[in-house]
Amino acid sequence: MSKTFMLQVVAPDQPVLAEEPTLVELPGEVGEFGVMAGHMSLLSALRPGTLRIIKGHERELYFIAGGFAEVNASSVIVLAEEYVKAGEIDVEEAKKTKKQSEAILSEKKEGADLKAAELALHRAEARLKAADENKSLKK
Amino acid sequence: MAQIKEIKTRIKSVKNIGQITKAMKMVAAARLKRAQERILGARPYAIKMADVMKNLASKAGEEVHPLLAIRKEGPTALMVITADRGLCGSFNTNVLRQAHHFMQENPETVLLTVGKKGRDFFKRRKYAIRREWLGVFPRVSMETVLEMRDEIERMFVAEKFKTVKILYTEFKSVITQKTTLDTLLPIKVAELPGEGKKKDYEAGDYEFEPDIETIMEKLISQYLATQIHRYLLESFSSEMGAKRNAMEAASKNAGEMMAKLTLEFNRARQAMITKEIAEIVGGAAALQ
Repeated sequence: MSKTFMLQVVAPDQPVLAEEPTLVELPGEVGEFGVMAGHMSLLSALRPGTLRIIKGHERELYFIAGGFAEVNASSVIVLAEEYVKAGEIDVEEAKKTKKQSEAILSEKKEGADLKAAELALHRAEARLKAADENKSLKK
Repeated sequence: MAQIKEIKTRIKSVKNIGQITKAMKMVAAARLKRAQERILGARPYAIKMADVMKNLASKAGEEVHPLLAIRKEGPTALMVITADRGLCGSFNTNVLRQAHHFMQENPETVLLTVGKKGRDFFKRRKYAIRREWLGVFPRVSMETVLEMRDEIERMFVAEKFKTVKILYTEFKSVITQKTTLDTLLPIKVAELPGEGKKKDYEAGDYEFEPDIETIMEKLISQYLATQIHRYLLESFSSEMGAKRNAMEAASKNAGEMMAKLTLEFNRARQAMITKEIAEIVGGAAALQ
């Protein structure tokens, strides 16, 4: 059994999520990375994506909407803008958002906030991906 | 007879008012509870964030970000947070009195208002309002917060403001709320609240991904948004607290008033009966 470490996920509008996993996989700005106990100190920006918390044989998935991760030898703190348990993702809502933002991006209307639409699209896609992965995991 | 009828209608209207204030009190209490939960939820995030930022700034030096710039000169901006509605005791008056005082001392200040009451107050006094936000409460959405953040950031960075201050009502408890003037920008990293677990930070040299500037930039704008969010929630909680108290007092007054009126009503009724009996007795005596 490998060593565990402290993981805290905090978001402005949600309660703190505290876990003691053996491995965490995070969606870093420059690429996904995994963290185990004794990792070197690291501060990374996160993009919208899937957070995987692995405890021995258990595996829990969350969607996080970007933020930061502060990694120490004994702890990981994730400052997320939002987090959702993969099983609780509203797939219909995400699909709708995805369609809407795609429409905005393809029309390129004047005055439309393209940057916001792009961000919304990324988030919706990340949400769907997390939900998909969770589904195949359960099978 | 006419007097009795008059008192009766008054009792009825006081009773109605009492019912309304009681209902408003309940609504305020429920909203307060929800707002408080949100503040408690937001607090650990803000503290953790301040921790990370403190650590970063000590590594990067204070010049690294435009929002940390300390200027000797430049215009000042004041953001005043009030409610959209009244009926909450002296909540709005307290904020506006202090804001007015501030404006008289620093007439050059650029005004930003949140809430209808603040906007109306300054409009009536012919102050120029740079930007106003209405209908922010009770659902303080992140979208609005980001809009405020962007405006303030633009003023500070592009227009070289010296400082952006915020006047809001701090929520101490349901009974006490305090009008507070805080500085939003520039952010003084050294004064940030936080647990400050120094040991960890000195021990490990951090690696940054993608790089320290990008992280700092994202982190600081995010921090500013969190701050604004917190101020709005504090103000809303205070508003609901003040409203709850005001409505409680009003309900109490209505109850007292009703007791008084009922007493008056009974007296008038009694007087009428006595009068009638006296008349009957008088009439009977005349017949004999």
